[in-house]
This record gives sequence, C-alpha cells and structure tokens, in this order.
Amino acid sequence: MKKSQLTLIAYLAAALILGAGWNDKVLAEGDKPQIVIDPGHGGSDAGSRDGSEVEKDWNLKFALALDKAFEADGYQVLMTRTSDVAVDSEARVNMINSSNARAVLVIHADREWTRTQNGPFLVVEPPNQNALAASDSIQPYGAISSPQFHASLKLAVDIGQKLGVNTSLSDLSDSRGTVEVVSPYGKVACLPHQDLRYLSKPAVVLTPLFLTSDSDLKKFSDSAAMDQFAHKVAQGVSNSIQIAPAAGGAAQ
Amino acid sequence: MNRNSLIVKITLVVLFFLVVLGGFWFLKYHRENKKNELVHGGSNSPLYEPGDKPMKVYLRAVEMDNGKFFSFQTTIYQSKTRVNQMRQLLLAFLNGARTGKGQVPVPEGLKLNDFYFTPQGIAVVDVSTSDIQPGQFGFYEEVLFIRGLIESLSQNFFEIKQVKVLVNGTEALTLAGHYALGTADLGGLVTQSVNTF
Repeated sequence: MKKSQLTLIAYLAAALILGAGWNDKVLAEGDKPQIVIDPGHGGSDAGSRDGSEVEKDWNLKFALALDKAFEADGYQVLMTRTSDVAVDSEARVNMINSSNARAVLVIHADREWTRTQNGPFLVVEPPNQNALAASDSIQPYGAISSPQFHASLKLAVDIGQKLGVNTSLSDLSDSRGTVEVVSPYGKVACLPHQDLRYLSKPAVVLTPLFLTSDSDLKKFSDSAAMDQFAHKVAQGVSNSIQIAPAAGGAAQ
Repeated sequence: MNRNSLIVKITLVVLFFLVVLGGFWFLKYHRENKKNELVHGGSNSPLYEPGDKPMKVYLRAVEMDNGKFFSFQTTIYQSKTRVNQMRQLLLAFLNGARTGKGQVPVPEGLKLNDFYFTPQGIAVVDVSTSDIQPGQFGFYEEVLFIRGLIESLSQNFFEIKQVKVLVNGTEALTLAGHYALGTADLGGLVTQSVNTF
C-alpha cells in the first residue's frame, strides 16, 4: 500500500472517530430539552421607561433568574444576550430558529399610562398562514401556522396557570384567537408582536411586570420573589412540553 | 294659438331648463364628491362649513381607574363629504382628553400626517411617531391606541371595511417598535369585516 493511501485512510479514520465523538456530545446535550430565553432590547436600545425604571435592565434580570431556574430543572438554556448589549434582530431570529428549542420566552417588561395594569401578561402571535396565502404583499412578515399558534397558546396558558393568573384570552386580542374564551381580565393575549412574527418555534412574550405598576416594582425588588416567579415559569413550561423537572432541581 | 296651448308651451320650456340645470348641478356635485371621497379625501378643503349641522359621534377612550375602554359622545359637523366627517372624527380622537377620569389612548407627540379613504373601503391613517419621547410608548399602549383608533372610526362609519396605519407615510413593520403592523387581523375588535394592516 502506498504512503499516500495510508495517509488518506488515517485521515478518514480520524474524521470518523472525531465525528462520532461530536455526535455523542450533541446527543448528550440533546437529551436535555432546550429553551430559548430572549431578553428584549439591550445596549443603546433601552426599551420602555418610566421614571428611573428602564425596561432593558428588568428584562435581563428576569432572564438571568429564568436561566438559573431552567438550568436547575435540567434544561439546556440558550440566551440571546447575557449582558447589556444590543442584539441585531436578524441575528436573534436566526439564533432562535436554528436552535432545537422546544419553547421560546421573549422577555419584555412593559408600561401603561393609566397605571392600572400589573404583570404578568403573556402574548402569543396570531396565526397568519391564511393571510400569506391570500396576499403576496404579506410574504415578508413571516408565517405562523395554526399548529404553531396553538402550541404557543398552550405554552402561555400553562405558564399563566402556574403563575396563578386568569388565563382566559384577553378581550384586547386579535380576532384570529377568539375561538378561546375571551375576558376583559384575561392575562393571555393573541396580538401581533414584532419579536414573535418571524419565529418558527412555540413562543410567547412574557411581560413579568409593568414599569408603571408600584405593586409590581415593590414585589420584584425582592430577588427571592423573582426567583420564585422564574421557578413557576419553568414549571409551566415543563407542563406545556410535558417534561418532568430533573431530580434535585429547583422544584419546591 | 289659444291661451291653454301657450301655457303648456311655456311650462315645457321652463321644465326643460330646470331639467338641464338640475342635470348640470348633479354632474358637478357628483364629480366633486367622487373626487373628494374616493381619490384623496379633499385634504385642502375645509372640514366643514359654518352652516353645517352638528352630528353626534362616539369615540373610544380608557377609564383611568381600571384601564378599560368606554365610549363617549362628541360632536362633529355634517360636511359635504363623508371623508371630511371621518377626518373630523379622527382629529377629535387624536386630540381628545389627556387629563381627567377618561382619556384617549394616544401618546403625547403622536401626530396625524394624512388621512384618506379608498374606493375599497380602506381608511388609511398616516401618523408620525417621531415626536413621542423615547420609551414612552410601550407595547400595551400601542395595542390600546390601535384598538381605540379602529373602533372609533369603524363604529361611526359603516363604509370603513379596513383600517390601514402608515408610519411617516410608509408601510412600517411596527407602530413604535413592538406592535407588528402588516399581519394583524383585528376583525374581532369591531366586526368581522374590519381589519387592519
């Protein structure tokens, strides 16, 4: 056998061994369900404000607490940002859509000028595949199929139930979600949101608090309350995707 | 020629002139109306004349003690065109109360650039959000604004089948960063036939 042939065989064997090792690693990580946590805004994009309260900071605090809670429950967590940096929206969408995530939580604290609204509030994107079929002009805006909408709605309702809120569909919702029970006090809404419209995974916008709510700000000034909130969210996600939390996790 | 025959002839001549004048007036009025209603809405014409009769309309606003919608009555004027009535209503909504127990869900700094109504029944509302203070128009507030706008317009004008919101003259992706324009079907807010883009 020539030397060049031996070299080629050696390269192929090495590639096979390394490839198998890489596959094993992927499979090992794949055993853990993956979750994406996407804290909105960041860097020069501060998001909503009320007085000294800034949305991007609250989003990151909640995202880090959720990261901890999901890790403790045996999840593999993918964060779109872990510090105060701006993330390009296209990069963010690519990161989420190319992941193996079973669920996506987009974190957005909000504001509301009557100061009567409290968190949590959950938003899911209405289905729009029919609209896509009806008009080419809507093509650039993404496609939310009916199964994806229902998976997202289930995710929102399961999280809402663990958080103890009214999970009826809010009467502010888009008509395409009105097959569900509608209530003026519902905390789950079906509304078109820029951070959901391009995602191909079950996804919700989770508004843990309103910057304009004194009671919300007071409640979450205590880090234990934030951890407890994050743990309930993780439980809700587990219920939704039907995965039991890992033994020794943060379950209490 | 007897007297009766003369009267008949004079009557026929008068009727002929009346028909001609009436036809001329109808064509002129119809053409102006068509131009105003279907092409652009007559933005250069006054919204109403001093002699126009008052007309009651209902606008949507939010109760400050619970954040829920309610309707309140206000007065605009019957002008020559429906589109001018729509424009008056829109201005009444955008310039509505921002103090007191009931307030319109319109942020300070939001301005109307243009309004027109298309032959397909689409009310096109072009707004500017550039003068809104950064961080003062959250997603929930965007939702309230869109809902208040659509309900105020469509509940008073049966002709409106859809409401299209432009931002600074263009079909923007969002109203103010969160609310996604372009895919929303808000039919359930009012009737199944009223949508928004």
